[in-house]
Amino acid sequence: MRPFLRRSIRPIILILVLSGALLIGGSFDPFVGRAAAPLIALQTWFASSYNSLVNFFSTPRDVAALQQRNAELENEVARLQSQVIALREQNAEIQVLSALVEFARQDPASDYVAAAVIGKDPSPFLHYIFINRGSDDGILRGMPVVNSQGLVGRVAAVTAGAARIQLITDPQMAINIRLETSQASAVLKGGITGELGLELIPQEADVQTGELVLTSGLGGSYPPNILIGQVTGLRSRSFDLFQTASVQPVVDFSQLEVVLIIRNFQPIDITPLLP
Amino acid sequence: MVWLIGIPTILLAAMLQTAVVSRITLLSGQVDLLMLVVLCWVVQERVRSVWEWPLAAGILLGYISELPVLLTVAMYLLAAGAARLIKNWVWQAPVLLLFTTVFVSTLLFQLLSFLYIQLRGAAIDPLQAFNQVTLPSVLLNLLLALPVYAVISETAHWVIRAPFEE
Repeated sequence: MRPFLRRSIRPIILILVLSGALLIGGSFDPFVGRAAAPLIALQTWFASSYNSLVNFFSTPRDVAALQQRNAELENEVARLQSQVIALREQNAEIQVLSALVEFARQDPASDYVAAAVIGKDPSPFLHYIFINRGSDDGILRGMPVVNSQGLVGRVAAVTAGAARIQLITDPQMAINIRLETSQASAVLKGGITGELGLELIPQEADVQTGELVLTSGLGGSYPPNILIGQVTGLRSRSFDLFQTASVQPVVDFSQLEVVLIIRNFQPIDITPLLP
Repeated sequence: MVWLIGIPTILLAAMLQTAVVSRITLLSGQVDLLMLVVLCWVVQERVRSVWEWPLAAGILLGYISELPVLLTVAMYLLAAGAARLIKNWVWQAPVLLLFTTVFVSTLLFQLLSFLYIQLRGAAIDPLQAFNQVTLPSVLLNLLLALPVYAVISETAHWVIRAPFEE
């Protein structure tokens, strides 16, 4: 046996060295690759089986954890949704206030105080609103009320912390106005359904549809040149003494949230002068 | 006890009326929650003293509304009187009694308000007022009468069952 070993040890070493050199050089790669493929597949099967087994035993714990996490995330979503709603409301409020500030900047001579609309008169025949500012804030009866769009009305009654505003759409309201283009004077009147109408327009006045309606300042109840609306229709008959017209108000009275009261305008009471 | 429960209820109804209900309109008509609350109280079988709530509601409405307080008090007292009168006629049908009372009272309120505004100098077309304000208001009041009646009925049951009542 020993002579056989002595004789074959050298060729074996030579073969191993040669094989090692070829293996390192990459000459056996195709062969090794084909030989390793079943082994890799088997290894993959072992690994996946093990993972499945581990998952099977650990699943109940994970479901509980996932349920807890899900609940946490749902709470987070609800919190964020309520935050989004609050931010949207704030954004809408900021837009309204920005418009009011911009309106106030256009007329720096006037002293405005902002007030929130907190209610509406219970009677459907009366067009009055309630605001959360009163005599404690320097508000007096008769002061004009506007918003960023135009004339809203005037203060009809005041308490310490609140006031009642008569809207320009009220059936008892009458405002002296002038038409922007034709410069004709007329009287604006409200109605029970919220419509506005112009009366006492002189027959010779050339009034056009679309003309802007502004306060004239006559009578001393309102400052001049506050926008009220636009003429939408004209009724002129030759046998009438005056023309009449319908007016679309610029203020959306169904969406009133914040108004401005002009504090430094004192209405003039001309009642003693009337015959 | 009637005053104790009546004043907060009427105050709450008035606040809801001015802040919320007045903004819900059909054409130009609107619900009169305060009137419904008072009428639903008055027509309750257990309620004997019917004038306290209408009086309180009339004074409160006169304070918050542009309508004069004498007019609002008169409106509510007349409505309560009409409700008691109708109750004597249709006492066996509470729903019919409720609807009849609400219908008559709404017409009465609207008529008196209309007359007052006319006297103040506003030129209102009566037909337009009837079509645009009165009829929609009647419809809305009738629609809301039953839910309000259910709430007030429970309140009356709770209040009048109390041992120190009357």
